[in-house]
Amino acid sequence: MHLDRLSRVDAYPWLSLERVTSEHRVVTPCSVLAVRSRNSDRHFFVEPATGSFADSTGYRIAELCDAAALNTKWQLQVLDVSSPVDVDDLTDTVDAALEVVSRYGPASLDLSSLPGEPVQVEHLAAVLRASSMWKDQVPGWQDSRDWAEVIAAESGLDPADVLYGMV
Amino acid sequence: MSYTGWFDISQSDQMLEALCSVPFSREQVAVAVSHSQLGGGHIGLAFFTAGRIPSVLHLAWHRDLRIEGVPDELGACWAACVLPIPPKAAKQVVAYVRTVAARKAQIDYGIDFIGAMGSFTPQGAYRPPRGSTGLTCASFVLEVLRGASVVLVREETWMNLPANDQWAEEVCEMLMRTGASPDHIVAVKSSANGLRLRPFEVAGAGTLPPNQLPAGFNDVQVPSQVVAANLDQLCPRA
Repeated sequence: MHLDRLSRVDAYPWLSLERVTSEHRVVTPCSVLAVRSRNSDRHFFVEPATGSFADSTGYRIAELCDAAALNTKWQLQVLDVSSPVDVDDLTDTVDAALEVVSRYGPASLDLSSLPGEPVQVEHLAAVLRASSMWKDQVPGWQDSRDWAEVIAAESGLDPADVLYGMV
Repeated sequence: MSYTGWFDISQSDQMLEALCSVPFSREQVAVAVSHSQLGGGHIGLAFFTAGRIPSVLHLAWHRDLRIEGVPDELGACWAACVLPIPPKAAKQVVAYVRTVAARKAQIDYGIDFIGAMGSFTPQGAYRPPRGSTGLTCASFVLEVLRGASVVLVREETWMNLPANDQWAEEVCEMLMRTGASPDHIVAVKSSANGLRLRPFEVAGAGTLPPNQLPAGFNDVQVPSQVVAANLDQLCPRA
């Protein structure tokens, strides 16, 4: 992997690498994100690149980039309080969230950064509902559900409606 | 818990509407029923696809999961009742049902609905639990809705009826006639436990108000008979 810059960006704390070398290149196009090496406190940009990967470390980077990109897709809707809440928009959010689960398992659907953040509660509730069967395996599910209840009430929505079946 | 017996329905409440009239909006999911060969009805979930087409998602038979447009692709006469889910939640359920439908799972037909609980798992859109032989049209609807946190029935209250054994045999015979693998047929026969989740029972549960869900076996018997009577009125048998 070619590391062009050494600058810190908003970290995804669940990402980590055991080893980063210049021989490994990322296959999956990956939006810029920060990874933290387990062996040091250095943070790196992962630049989009093409090519083959040589071993499990490279594969994991590709996996993590893919999961991060998929997570970003639904997170953008949830974290934008002005996101439209038409059923078509909710469908896109649910589809993105379930794609993360389908490809990488429920532990990769990361809700842990949501509590305390401004959120569009109907989109958050849609993600919670779609992942409710695996709530014990999804990081931050219960705290996010509790946060959704708070936000719904503050928004003038009935939590028993928005979170029907989950309260 | 005792079985309370059949009730005389002399004047049915009208719980269903003709599906061809599309009695649901883009933001709602409806339970849709039709007649079936084996009796007890056939059931699916009606909703608008992202392409704005009213459709029914239903497990027609063994490894035959269909999503068919209303009315042209469905063929048979169906009736429907909107699920009484609060409006914001209903939109989320539509989104979830669409996503499940889009994944086009290949689902075995199996009669043990208790063993099939939790069939929609993280590893794929559909993966039956260990020991499960598959789903029926009724347990498919139940499990899809369970995945969306809409739990219609309390399976532990279900009762063994004498007619269920005959039904299980008929299912196995039909599986054999339609080319299911011998291993699957043996597994389905082995899983027969005298319990049956009738489509009309699931539909009946779907007519109950949210505060009565999940419903027990006795709770759904009257609504299930009303559903069956409504279907007969809307879709007279030839």
